[in-house]
Amino acid sequence: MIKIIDLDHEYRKDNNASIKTLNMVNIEINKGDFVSIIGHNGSGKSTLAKHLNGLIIPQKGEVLIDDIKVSEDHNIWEIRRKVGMVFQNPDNQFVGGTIEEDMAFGLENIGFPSKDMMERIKYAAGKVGMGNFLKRPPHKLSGGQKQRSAIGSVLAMEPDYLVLDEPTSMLDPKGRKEVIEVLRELNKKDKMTIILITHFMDEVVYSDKVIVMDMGNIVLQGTPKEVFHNKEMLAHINLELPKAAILQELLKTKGINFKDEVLTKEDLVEEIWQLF
Amino acid sequence: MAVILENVYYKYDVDDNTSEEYGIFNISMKVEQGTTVGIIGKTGSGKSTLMQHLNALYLPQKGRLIVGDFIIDKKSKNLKNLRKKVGMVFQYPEDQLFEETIYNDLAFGPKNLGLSGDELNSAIRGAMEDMELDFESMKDRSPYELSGGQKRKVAIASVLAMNPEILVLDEPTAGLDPKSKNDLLNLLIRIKNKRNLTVFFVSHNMDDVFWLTEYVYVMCDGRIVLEGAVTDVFKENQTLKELDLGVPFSVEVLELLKKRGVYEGPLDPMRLESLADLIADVLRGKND
Repeated sequence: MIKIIDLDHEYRKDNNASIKTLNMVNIEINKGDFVSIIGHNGSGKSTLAKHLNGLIIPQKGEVLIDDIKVSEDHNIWEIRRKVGMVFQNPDNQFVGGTIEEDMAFGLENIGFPSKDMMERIKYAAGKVGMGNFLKRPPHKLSGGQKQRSAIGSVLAMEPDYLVLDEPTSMLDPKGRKEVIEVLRELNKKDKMTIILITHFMDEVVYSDKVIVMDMGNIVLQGTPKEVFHNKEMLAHINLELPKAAILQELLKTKGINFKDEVLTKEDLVEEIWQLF
Repeated sequence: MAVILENVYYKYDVDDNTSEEYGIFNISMKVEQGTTVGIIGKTGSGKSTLMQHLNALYLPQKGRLIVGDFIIDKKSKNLKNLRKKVGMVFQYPEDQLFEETIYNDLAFGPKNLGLSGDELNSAIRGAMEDMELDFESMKDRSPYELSGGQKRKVAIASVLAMNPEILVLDEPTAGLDPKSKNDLLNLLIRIKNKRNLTVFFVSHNMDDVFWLTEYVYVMCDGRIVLEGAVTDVFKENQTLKELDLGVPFSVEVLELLKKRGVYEGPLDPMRLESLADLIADVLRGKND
């Protein structure tokens, strides 16, 4: 379980002024959850994510990963083994000449026995659907394949938690879909805990829990349906609803009454079909 | 400025023992002054290579480009005057900010092109005002202190400060939240009209392409495989899917409604408001 307790973070500027990027944040994430974090640029999402594996050490408050304190220096390697991170730009995350080498890099760093390495790499690559591409160099991969490989390299370390900071924002629609499908699969089949930071409202509708941040504060949290029900609050902090929900709202203003609020186009079409 | 490409060919010299070819092959286009064209295609389809020909970052190995009065072929030299006219906004342009003040960042390009004094000053002021950045209060600030959205605006302003007549926008809204994204696209439309620019818009977001552009080129494996008026291209939803490209949201919804037997008309791309009108009409028609 991840526990974030009264977490504060201030970013100091040159002129001694400071900007509060996290303000008394409290979150609990259970093992096996799929949690999405949304908020506009500068809302504190990435700062929060970087606390989860000690890339940023708490200035005030605490982050506990399975009761291990991120704030204590000697815990850092244990924390980083438990919490794998994937970032926005797949090109910045490759260190190896091929996928296989890239996956081996992390394992070698933790002194993983070389006789078992190939088996582990094949397992991790298989999980992200890249098993047939092990000898491929990164420049011969699509964006979605690169990002799936990056996820695979993290999985090879067998983390307990997977944190992804806008992993799809540089991908084309197919790449986006591939990455989200891999995440949903890992969550469902392997009970991997997923913490997904994203700007794409259509990606969060599959989460167990959505956390909405604004100016360093958590302003909403709940299931996707609960969160997107707060339309005024979301509009107030400049977040959009998923497209299907926007369309449903437009239809309501034209006097069409629906039974349920929807978040996906498939559900909306079902609702429309029932009215037909 | 109008842009004409005649059988432009550029092949990368990749030596990795595969038969795959990288580059652009036999590309011809004719873009009228003042239009906005969309360039779509999956990652690696040649979009960026094509765009980098427009200001002669790459010279065509075969064929030629006619950009305004400039003719570009494999032997072209002295391209500084062309580069003034073609502004390139690459993905995540804020990564290229490097000066201590916003003013200096915007001055870098125009100075290199020989602008100075009042001319330089007014180019910078005009670019900042167009990007809705207050000249007096912001010119001496560090670009690094700004928020992500503001940094992006400064980076685009530094391209506009060169007073280009053609603007290439490669995923200009990547990584922005929905509100910042819509604001920036609205702003770019206003600037395009005010400055009467010819715009090349490269994007994976088909709804944005539908919103901004009049004509669309679809690329695959370095070739143009489909082109036409934006409403016509997005009617080819089967072809677009085969090319791993998306279609506008309206087309997806209408397709699902058709499968359910609720709707029988054409799968036209349209804005959400029009889609709501259409669906409302369909439901009313049935209930009358």
